Amino acid sequence: MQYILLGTVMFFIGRSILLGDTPSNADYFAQILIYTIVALGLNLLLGFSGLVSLATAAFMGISTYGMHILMENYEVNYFLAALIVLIFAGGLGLLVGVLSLKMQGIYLAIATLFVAHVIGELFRSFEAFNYGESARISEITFFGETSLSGYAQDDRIYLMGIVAIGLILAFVVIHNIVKSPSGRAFMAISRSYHAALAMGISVRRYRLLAFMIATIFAAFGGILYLTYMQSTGSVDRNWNLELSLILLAIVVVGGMKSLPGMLLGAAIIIGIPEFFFTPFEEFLQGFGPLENISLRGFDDIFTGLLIILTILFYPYGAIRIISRLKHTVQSKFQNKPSKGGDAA
Amino acid sequence: MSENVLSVKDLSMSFGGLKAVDSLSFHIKGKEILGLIGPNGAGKTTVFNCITQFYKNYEGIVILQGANKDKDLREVPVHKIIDYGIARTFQNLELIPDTSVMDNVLIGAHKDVKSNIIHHILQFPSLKRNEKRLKEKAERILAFLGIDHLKDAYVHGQPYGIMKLIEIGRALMGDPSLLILDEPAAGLNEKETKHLEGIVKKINEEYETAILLIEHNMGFVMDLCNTVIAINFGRFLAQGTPKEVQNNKAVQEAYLGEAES
Repeated sequence: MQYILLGTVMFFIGRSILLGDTPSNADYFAQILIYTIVALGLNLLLGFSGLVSLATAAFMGISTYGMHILMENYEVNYFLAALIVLIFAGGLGLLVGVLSLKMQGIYLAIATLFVAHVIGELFRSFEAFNYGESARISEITFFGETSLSGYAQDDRIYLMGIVAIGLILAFVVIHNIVKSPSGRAFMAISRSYHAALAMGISVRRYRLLAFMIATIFAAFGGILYLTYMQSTGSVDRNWNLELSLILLAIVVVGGMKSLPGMLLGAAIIIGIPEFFFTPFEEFLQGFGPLENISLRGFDDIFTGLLIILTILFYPYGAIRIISRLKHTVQSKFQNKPSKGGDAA
Repeated sequence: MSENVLSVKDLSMSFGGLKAVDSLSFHIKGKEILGLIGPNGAGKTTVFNCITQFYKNYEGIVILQGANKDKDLREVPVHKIIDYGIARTFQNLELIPDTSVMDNVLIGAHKDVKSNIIHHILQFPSLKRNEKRLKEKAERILAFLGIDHLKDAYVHGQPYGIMKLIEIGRALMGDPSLLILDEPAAGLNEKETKHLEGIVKKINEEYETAILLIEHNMGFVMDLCNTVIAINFGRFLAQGTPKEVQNNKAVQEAYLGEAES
């Protein structure tokens, strides 16, 4: 399967970053992969089912803190903790999905924003969530033997492997859904509401399902975040509205309804600011008068510009650039023999 | 003709103070093509929406005559109507533009999808078999409609006439015993209308489907329908063969008279 190849390639890129000069960049690379997974779930919601959620980051936070509590306070086994968190996320997605039965579009966005805000406040209020600050986990034990601490380089490569496997899994699951009768139903409820009903598709059922799946994917991303970073992340710095918007941007820029587009979108939205702005900043600082320049705030401007440009010129997302290139190359190759034939 | 398929009794539906449908009663018999005509705003589409349960707060009763017992359709949720053999098309096209013609037609077979999303994620072998069966059926229907060459094309960008046929194809996927067509010929040119006429007739004969249709194109209605019911302001005007209704004074005043002016 193409996704296994994709995941393997991603793993080796991550591995080479970890073994390279700047292993700290691997954190960003792992984030690209993790956000790709979350964006795949969000794409089912936004691209296919025509629904929107601004609580995605909050659901990721719930899952990292949930894992932390289960593993540290109750000493639950890693896999069992992950299973509990995913099931809990599914239930939560179902609850939030109920909102989508009553409202759509901007109203749904505002309602989910409110949900995210409530979750954020909950984190800040309870000690179990370390008052919303990030909390580290000591180490992860697999099958009672392999312990991964996240400090040793070998362990990090192992963890990158887990993230890559998660990526493959996420791609396969979404691919299977989208290509199945369920995928058709998701598209029907968003694009031909009345016909969907007349053809026997329960709009209620599929809206709830879409929210459940998107939330489970967000939680899965959260679990992988905790696994790789070995930290819950903080409510204010990680699991905030900004991240939810970034995830939406990944879906829009990558290409709604495109699965590989999510990886491309994440690579553009997360990767370009992290991997190119920082060296560019250092380069600018090399000039005397620009010594104190900072490009920190430019990430958001960059993301915003990209969204506008994408919607204006590539409504099907950046993935369309690649498919067009492919098309051009193919037609070039197909033309060549005929041209040769003409000459002869 | 054979027995009734569907009976509508004293159907009334109002929006605010406006009575869109006013105590209307009629029957559809098996294998019959029944045309519902009337000027714009006469309440024709409202009747369809009541029959297919998009509206629930109507007065009166819509009864489906089954082989064993009758069913009051009000008890049936809108998305279960197709299970009772009633499929419909829409006046304003309701297709998924950004997917293939095939996928759009397959939507019509959703009630025959017995697998759930877990089966789909895990790719159960039964899913593949079922999908293959549905695709073959869809291909037969597309061939029947004469658009099987377009099955992999996107719906977006297809001519209007083709989209109308796709909607009919989708409705046929549900093996309806009653097919409800909301202005099937609207927006079609003369050639397309003739083609459609042939298709509707063939559906009626080969699929043995009763057909209820709304249409403004009088030629189309007169050629196809066994029975025509004319309504105006939601009220019954006349019923009979196309000729009888055409010659009815009340109908001429309300409908044809207006059309000529």
